[in-house]
Amino acid sequence: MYGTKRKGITTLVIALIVIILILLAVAAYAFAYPSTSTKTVTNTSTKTVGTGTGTVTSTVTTTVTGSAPVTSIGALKVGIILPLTPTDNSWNYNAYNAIYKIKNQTGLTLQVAENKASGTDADVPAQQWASLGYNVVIFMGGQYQAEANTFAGQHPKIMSVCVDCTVANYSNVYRIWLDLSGGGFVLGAMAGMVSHTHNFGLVGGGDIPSIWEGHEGFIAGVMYTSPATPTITNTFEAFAWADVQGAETTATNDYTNGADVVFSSGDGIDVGVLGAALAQPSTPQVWASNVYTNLTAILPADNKILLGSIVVDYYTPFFKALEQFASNNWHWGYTKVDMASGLIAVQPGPNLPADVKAAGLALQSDIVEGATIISFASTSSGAPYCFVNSGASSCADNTLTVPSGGGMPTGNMAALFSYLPPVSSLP
Amino acid sequence: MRANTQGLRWLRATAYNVLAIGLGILAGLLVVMYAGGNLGVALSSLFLNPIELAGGSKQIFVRFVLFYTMGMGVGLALKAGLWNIGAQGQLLIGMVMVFVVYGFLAFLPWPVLYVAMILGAALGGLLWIAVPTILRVKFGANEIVVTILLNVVAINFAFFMLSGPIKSAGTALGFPHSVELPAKFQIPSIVSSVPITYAVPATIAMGIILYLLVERTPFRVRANTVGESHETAKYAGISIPRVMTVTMLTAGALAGLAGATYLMGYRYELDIGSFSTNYGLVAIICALVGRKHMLGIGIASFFFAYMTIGAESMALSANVTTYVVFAMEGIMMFGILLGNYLTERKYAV
Amino acid sequence: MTVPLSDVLIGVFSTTLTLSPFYLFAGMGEVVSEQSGVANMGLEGIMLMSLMTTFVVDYMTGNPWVALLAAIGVAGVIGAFFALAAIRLRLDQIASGLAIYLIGLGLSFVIFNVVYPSGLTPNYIPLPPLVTNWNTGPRALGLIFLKQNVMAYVSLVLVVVTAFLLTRTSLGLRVKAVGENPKAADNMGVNVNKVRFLATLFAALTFGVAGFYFAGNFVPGFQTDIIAGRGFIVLAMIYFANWKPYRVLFAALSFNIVYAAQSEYVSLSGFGVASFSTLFNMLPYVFLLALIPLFGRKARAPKFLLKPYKKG
Repeated sequence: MYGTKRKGITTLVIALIVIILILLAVAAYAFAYPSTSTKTVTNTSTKTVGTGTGTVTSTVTTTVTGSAPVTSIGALKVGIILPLTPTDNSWNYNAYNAIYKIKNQTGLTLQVAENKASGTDADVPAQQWASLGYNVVIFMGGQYQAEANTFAGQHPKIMSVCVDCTVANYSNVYRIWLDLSGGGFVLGAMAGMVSHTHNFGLVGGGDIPSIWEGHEGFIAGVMYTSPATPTITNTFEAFAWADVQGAETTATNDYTNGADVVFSSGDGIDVGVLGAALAQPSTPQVWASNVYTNLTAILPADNKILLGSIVVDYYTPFFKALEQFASNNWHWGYTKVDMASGLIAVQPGPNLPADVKAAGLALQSDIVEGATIISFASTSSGAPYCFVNSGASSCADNTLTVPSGGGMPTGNMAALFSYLPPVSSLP
Repeated sequence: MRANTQGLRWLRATAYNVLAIGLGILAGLLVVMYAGGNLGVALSSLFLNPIELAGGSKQIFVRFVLFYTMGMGVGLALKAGLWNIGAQGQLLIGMVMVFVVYGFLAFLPWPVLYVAMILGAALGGLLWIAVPTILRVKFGANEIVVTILLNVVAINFAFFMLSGPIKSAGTALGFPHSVELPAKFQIPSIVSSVPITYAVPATIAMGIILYLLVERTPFRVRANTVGESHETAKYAGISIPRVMTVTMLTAGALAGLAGATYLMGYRYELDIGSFSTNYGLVAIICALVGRKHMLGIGIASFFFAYMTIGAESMALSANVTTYVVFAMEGIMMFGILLGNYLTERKYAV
Repeated sequence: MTVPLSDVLIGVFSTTLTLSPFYLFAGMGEVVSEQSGVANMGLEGIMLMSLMTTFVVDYMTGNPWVALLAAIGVAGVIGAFFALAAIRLRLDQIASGLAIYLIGLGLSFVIFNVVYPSGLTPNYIPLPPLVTNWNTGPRALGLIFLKQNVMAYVSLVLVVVTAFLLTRTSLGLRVKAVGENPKAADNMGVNVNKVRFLATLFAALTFGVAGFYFAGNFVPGFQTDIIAGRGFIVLAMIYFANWKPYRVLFAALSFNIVYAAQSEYVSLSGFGVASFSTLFNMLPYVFLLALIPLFGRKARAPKFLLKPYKKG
């Protein structure tokens, strides 16, 4: 008995020693490849003053952090924060592919942080990138607006790109703000023409300006062209951008309840709505739309039910932002992404009747050329175009003017942004 | 001789735990390597980033407090043979209660309100676990099933509260969140330059108190007996309902309390980012690694706080999805169970 | 909104029949497994792995039946692993189940990400509906019954078969005996652990089918944590159904009727912003909880559920 116990102890001790040795080796390897973080360089020099024996020790400490002025995009280090993952063929997919395309063209360094549900979650990778000397952080979503501004205040040398944001409190916040109303309007106009049942469904995500602008645009477009009074069902869902199944169930219900067109506003909702449309029988024809990506180009199998895509170009604004940063010309920068600027275009579904397609494209060029301007003023009879049934935002006479020099927007929607920190005096 | 065996058994179990954790880390490294990452960068981000990068060290202590507090509750309930799978839901309700108290009891003077917020969170967690506890004690309803359902209900309830009663006035941004707690309602750092808040020593103190109250009193034996066999407990005259109620309610209160320290010590506002975390599961792992011992859970929690941050950082630097951390945790848990099995087999009577 | 009530009801029933089979497949497997004394808490992990496999194989081959086979295969492997841990090694069933869940949750998306890093996938080719032109003919019949695919009906058949096997055959008696009194069963010559192993494996295979069914009927694409806790709900359903297959059918159908009804109501009442819709989202779960006073009081778990058995 003693013999076996001794053997047991020996085995155990040997095992422990081996484990500790392995861990030490691993740690040593890790230390041999230090991560690139901020380094503090200390130079100490000793001088003899005069004829005496006194010594003067001067210590010069320089902290080297990341970005010295760069002149090439390829030398930049960029991090992008996504609310979901590129599997949605929509918002996240579009952003990921846009920045990835730039990376392939220029050779910049790119890191992607996915599934960050809110600003506080986004802060973790953002701070990590700041320590690693990254130059640009792209916050891909309006939910990061507060965090993008706070982060910008903490790291004045880093460009904080905020997509779907309208507020900049610091000069290093680069706003890319979104106005989907034109795209929604064109889609709605085509929907009004092509629908047989005059019953329309909309499935949406959070109650944020860019989404309900898209919804209102769609509803306004339907009312613009529908020959009969339309029935409209508008659903905003909780956790919508991620609740694929909920979106699919809602869209299916809409179709069962008689809708033959369903408008979808992006992310996981697109996945669900398009799936529901594809599951419907081929006659009577039903339609669904999607946002942010050109589905005809990337998923042609969806063409049979595709009303159209509101295609958003993020490549251009990203490239512009990086270019301006590289040429040191980026303060208070912004890009407005809408139909008039040419960064939003509607790609009609290939299966649409030719006259509907033509009408839609004609309307689009009107908007681009400024011949038609979308606004949501209430009609003279007092009934607003807007069917968005939300307690938070009224839809009549919504105005939002975004100042180019930064600061809070004005207009009667400005109250939505009162929670953000006040403007700083940073140059 | 007996003491020697006990010590050896502990040593052996710990060695196996270490091996299990090493296995999980190895799995993560394999995934990173397969995705084309650099081994050196991966290792350095895993081991060094938590302390080197900004915010990393603060995160370690925040998660340590979170896992330890929740883990103690889970471990306590586990002693009595009860699984608190609902820790995540109780955590969420605790966080909601912080803002409910903040909003609706705002007339109270500051120090009273501050304490009320923390107690309210613990109370919220306690109330949330009260239903499964009553159902288990009175009707024998399986607490696992009820707590799982309540987890889902908690998420929906918290979303409802965030969109209404505790919503921040200025936000209609569709991603609802609460107001941000001003500085005097946050848990301050002990020394301003070091990111350790008062929550850390408070949690350690609580751990010591619970250790003294649980491990060093007859309660430990009572709870263990209930956990092992109800027949033996009844024979020994132990009040099973009382033990179960005390352990479960404490577990719920601790999870709710964790919500308060997490909010007031780190996050300062409640938004949907807190809804889809898996901290409840990691707390269970910590309880298992710590062998349900009030102090052992503390060591395990610190380790897992460090490890999860390092693993997430490693995934980020290799452009691999952070979901790999879940897989690593699962493998570690499996290894720990296996280690326990091998230890018990060696020393089984 | 002028939508006729008949349309609303048709929508509710149609959705119910689309969603319930997922719970039924998993439910039947878990009932058998738990009757023999093994509870598999990792079912959602197995489902996620099967779901991911379904999508990947379907994208690659375009054939949903091949995807089904692959899903079942993957589930079987993981299930065998779990059975080994829980039965042979007698590890704690709940803890090892949770471990499997974590591994499945992480690994499924890791693998999917490796295969489709940019996210662009082809379309999922689903199983065809029972009757291809289901929309010609009576509206209610088509939308509710003919639109479902064959696996939906397989699940209903499975309920009947499971109930029959458990109550009327010697195989079922053996399973129940092993869960109620393994010592006695052992004395009668039943290989307790072998029966448990087979029951657990059967359960894992049904989880694989459930994961396959989730694709196309619940979601048309794979996202992170997409099953989102529905697998765990199955455990609750079985509990409230007192481990009886027909009651599981009732629990699943009623749960999904409540879900579908509240979804329709939220859409049609135009609540707009989500705040009130979350209150309604809670209804199906509160409904399940409310079943406790009805069924849970007399719920008697198999006596040796979660207790490992050691021969001799």
